[in-house]
Amino acid sequence: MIYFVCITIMAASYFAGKEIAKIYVKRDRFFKNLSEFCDFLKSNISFFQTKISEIFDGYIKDYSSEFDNIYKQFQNLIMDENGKSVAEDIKFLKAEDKVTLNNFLKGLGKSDQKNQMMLIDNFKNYALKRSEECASARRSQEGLIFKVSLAVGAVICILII
Amino acid sequence: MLYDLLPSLICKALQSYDQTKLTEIRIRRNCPIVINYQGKNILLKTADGENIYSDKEIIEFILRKATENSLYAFNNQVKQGFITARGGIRIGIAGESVNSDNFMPKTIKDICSLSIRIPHEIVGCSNLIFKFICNEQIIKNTLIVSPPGAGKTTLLRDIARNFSHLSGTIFNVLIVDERFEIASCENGQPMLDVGVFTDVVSGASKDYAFTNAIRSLRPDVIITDELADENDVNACLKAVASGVKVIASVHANNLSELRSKTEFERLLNSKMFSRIVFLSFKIGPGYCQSIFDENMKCIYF
Repeated sequence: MIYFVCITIMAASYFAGKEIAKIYVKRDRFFKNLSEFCDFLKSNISFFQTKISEIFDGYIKDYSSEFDNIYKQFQNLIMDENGKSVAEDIKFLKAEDKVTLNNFLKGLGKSDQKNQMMLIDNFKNYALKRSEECASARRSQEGLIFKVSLAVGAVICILII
Repeated sequence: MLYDLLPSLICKALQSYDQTKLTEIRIRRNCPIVINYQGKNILLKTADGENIYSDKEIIEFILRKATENSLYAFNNQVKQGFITARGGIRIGIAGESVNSDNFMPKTIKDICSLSIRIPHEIVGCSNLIFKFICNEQIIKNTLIVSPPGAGKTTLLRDIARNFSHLSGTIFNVLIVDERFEIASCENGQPMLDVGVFTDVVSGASKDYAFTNAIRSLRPDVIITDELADENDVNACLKAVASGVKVIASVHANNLSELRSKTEFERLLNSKMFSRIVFLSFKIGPGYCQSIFDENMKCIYF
């Protein structure tokens, strides 16, 4: 029975380690996706002057990704006049990322084309930088997190035995 | 469409009015809201009889809704002092002009007044005039003259529609809709009935649209709103010289007022327009008061 419990704990530790490491991967992918979205925004705003809501619709339709629901949420909240925070529900983002993302989304559509381009360029640079940081953190910490997780599992097993 | 633009307080107050008789809403910051109803300006009141005042938030709300949170897509319009929202609702704006170094307006900031004009589609309002414009499949160049709000745009829209219904043949009609008011296009598709043989160029200047469309679309007749300056007049003269008929409108109360503007005096002297239609408020929007021919001989009164 004890061995069965230990195996279960070790398996749980293994999956917990994997899941924690996945946050870095997801954050990296999200920021990469955001930077691609910025390019999409720029071409639609500067050339076609497409309206914000239609840009979101087009992006979700043409470039469907695991973040579609997040983009839909952004779209709904940008169009919502109450202007409440738009990044609160994204669990894998850090607090400072949420603030920056929120400010970016609040600024979308609020100025002329030239200023919109500047806003998008600045945010794209931020997203690319964060993506690089996430990739680097993932490389350096992914193994460590996994090992720590397994070690915690092992310690619990030893204590039980 | 209109209610999508307005805060709930104003929407509630407007519900007691017949929307077909509502033509304009005037919103000025910190002032009572005025509506034009059945041709008269009246104060908008709550159910309790209190005047409704506008403030900065109400103006910002309307602008946000009208631009669909995409101000950059409307800046060319804002520079010219208006925004055309969905459904052809034209919102005139007043505020502080931000100028570039050469004194050309870049945008308008601190917008403090809005004039919301509600378009009305009156099917058949041009039936009487149409037989003077298009008879035995011959189209006459026509100028529609009236003060603002007398129904020029409504009439032009119905004339375009009638080319598909009453003309007895298929004419290629082109609407040059500089301010999105005649056809009210959304994603290129007219939202108001302008007939099935009609092409619409929206948002382009008359000069540009006339030149390019004559080359590429081969229209039989071009319909356009509000000739304003020499460029517009020249565009019309060029179109007629190319063998295309023109039906246009212009702001003026009467013939002498029209002649007082040099460019229109030149236009009238050229005898380009074989039909000059004067509208008045007498009965309602689109009421035809008189029609003259190119020699200024009255042919309908």
